[in-house]
Amino acid sequence: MSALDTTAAQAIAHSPRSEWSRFVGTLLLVLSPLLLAGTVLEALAWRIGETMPVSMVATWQDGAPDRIWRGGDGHSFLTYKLARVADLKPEIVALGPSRANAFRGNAFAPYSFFNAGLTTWTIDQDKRFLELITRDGYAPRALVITLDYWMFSPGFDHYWGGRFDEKPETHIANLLRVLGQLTTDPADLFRRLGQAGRVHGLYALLGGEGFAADGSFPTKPTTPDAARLAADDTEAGTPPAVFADAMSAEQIGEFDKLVALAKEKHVALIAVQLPLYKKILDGLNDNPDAGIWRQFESAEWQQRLAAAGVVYFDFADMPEYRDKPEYFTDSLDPDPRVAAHISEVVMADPRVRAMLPKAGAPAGK
Amino acid sequence: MSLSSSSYLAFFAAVFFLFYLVPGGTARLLLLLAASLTFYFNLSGFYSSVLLAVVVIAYAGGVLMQRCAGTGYRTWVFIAALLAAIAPLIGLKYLGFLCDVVGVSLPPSIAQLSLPIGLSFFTFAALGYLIDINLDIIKPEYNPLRLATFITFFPLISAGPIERGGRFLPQLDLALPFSAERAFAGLRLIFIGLVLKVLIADTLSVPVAAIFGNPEGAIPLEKFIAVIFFPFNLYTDFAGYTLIAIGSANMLGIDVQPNFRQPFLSPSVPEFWRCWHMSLSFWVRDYLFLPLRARWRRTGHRGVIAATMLSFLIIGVWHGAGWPFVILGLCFGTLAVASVYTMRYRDAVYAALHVPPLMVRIIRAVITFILVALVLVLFRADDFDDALLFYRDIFSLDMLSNVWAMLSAGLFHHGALPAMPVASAYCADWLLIAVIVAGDILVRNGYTLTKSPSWLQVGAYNVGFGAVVYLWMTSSVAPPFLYYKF
Repeated sequence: MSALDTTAAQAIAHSPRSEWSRFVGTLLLVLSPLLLAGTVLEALAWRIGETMPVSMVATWQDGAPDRIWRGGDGHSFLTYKLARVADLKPEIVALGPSRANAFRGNAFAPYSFFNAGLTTWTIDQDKRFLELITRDGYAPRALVITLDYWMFSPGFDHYWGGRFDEKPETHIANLLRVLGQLTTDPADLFRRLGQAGRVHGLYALLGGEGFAADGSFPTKPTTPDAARLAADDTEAGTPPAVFADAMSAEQIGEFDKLVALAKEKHVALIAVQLPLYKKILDGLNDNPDAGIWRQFESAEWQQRLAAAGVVYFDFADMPEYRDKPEYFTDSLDPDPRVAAHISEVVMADPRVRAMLPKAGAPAGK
Repeated sequence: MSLSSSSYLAFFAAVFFLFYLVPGGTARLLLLLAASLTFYFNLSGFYSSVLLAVVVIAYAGGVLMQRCAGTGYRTWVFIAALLAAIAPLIGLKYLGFLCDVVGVSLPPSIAQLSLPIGLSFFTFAALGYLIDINLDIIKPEYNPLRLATFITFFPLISAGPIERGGRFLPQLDLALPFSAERAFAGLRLIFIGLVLKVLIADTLSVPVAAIFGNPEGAIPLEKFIAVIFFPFNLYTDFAGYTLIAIGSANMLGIDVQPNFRQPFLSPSVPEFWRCWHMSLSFWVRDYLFLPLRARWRRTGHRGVIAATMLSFLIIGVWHGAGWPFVILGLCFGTLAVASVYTMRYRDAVYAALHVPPLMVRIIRAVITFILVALVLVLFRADDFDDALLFYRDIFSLDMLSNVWAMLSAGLFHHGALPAMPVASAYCADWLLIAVIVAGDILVRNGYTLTKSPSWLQVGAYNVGFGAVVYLWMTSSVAPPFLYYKF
């Protein structure tokens, strides 16, 4: 008689139901330490907000300007911002790479505003973002996009093309990130848990920085240390800001498509070139290879923008900030004070007021 | 869907619960067959037709042989069924090699065909079934569902063990009620299998793959380390995988023969093959070696030697089509013959030197392991030239200088050998190997996990399964199961 026969004979003595109860009960009991550990990890990751779906994060931030989120994967930003836009349905949306991060909602009052920065890098991505947010009938009154010369270099999409299509990481990957932090420095993680009511996402919890309810990314105060901004080689044409003799016809074509889409959706298009740090500006102005920069700065290009109905602001060179490192988080990204100043100028501009009549008026009017 | 993946575990859990939910008999048979075909289609897609063809051939062959019983046609039907059942294996696995040997090139459409997963396993199961009917060991199976379930049974289809019809088919009444004891016994095997495959084999496969994948870039000592690691890598990979298969079968109420029995404790090469991939070696023993030895009994030693060499040749080429596998089989055959015929002389030497029995056993096990490891280079190397490179370097003076340099600098001293990763880089791997050997010694001496204190068992299950889950979560691509290519 084999071992299986023996066990089978023993089994006959018990009813199937009691056998199942014994099997499931014993299994749960034996693996209870592991199940408990898994449950604790899940609960911890949820408490941190790392495994919370971005749609829930979007709702969690409603009406709570001090709540910040930054999931650790870096691949969920688009999903998160789309969820916030769908949730808020703002009248003004700002769009662009990290350069757009500093725009704050209160600067655009009385209009509702959301900063969708850190989601688009190319003109095509701006267009696709607009398509995504307007597919269900909603459309903002105005779209504020950051516009820079490098977006018109021929191969620019090569560097950023895939970024827009990144999918949020899996639940397991998010759990593992929490587990990794838990094994690296558990005391630090538990100490920070007290902030989890206001801060969601592992990186936000660890670094104190994340997306605020208005979509902006408030950063810590910067310093006047010029060496901090020395490492950037944008002025030398280092990828992705590659130089070209002229602006690419293909990219201009993409821009025309964006303009056409905005018109079709009745969205006012406001394009802003944000300030550049002095080192970058000087390098660009002095570099004979930077033909694309000169064309982008030319009156012809600005006239073309105006003719297309795009309200364009060139803040690339702001004398009050250009050589003051403390106003830049890095050599390309102005800090919130600069962004607030720019927002004020934009909202006071007659061209903008023509499209947004309440621009510049106090909130509530 | 590899048996060691989390997706298999989810698939199996669904089949397991459904199995005991439906009434015993035909409903369970249908469920197992549907699950098996789904599983195999998921693995091999289009090539599932090959599996179905083998099932049809085995069924028709068995029934026809019975119908022709007592007539002269029976032998012809048997031969025809045997040839038809083995034809896909010959065509898909060996035709290219045979054509190379005779200098004929295959049309690209045929040469590009892949090898269906588990082809050698299910073909040998079908061949064994036909041979057993021919030898009147079993009656043919008239219920096509039962025969199809036997040949396609999903836990065994991809990597065995190669079951026998006489043992498997009577268990397909599938009327056993659910038994918690049986389910736990199966789960324990699955757990040990997962630990062996996911924790140990997949870890050992990293240095093995790195060194065998770039032999030119490895110094002789590294090659030697890879040669030592590979048998353990292969053992834990294959034994782990088959334990998952056996455990799954047990949970469904089907007893399956074991496939490994602590092979690296074997004192000789013949004993090694009685403990390694037992379902294959016993298949070859029963259906080839014993009949040949009986037929050639009048030729004395020559007959035994010829039967042994031929059996090991078949074992060699079962593993792959190519000269390395032919040589691998012949090497094992030669070692087996040499072991048998030199045994008494070696015994005399040990007796004359008054070596204690335990020491004799250890020495024999170590020598057997080294011989097996050296032959397995032919199995693991990408081609024959690479295998020769390994042999040349391992037996070179450079190897001695490597060892000297390592010993003089201290075994675990960083920077001792600038041309290779330091010896300490392999510490975890050596530790795993020590665990495998210690575990095998304990099991051989009757000590199993079930006999240990409850707290130790609970701890082992939680730590082991937790580590497996962690590796599942962190490994984007798990190393492939080494025996898949067969």
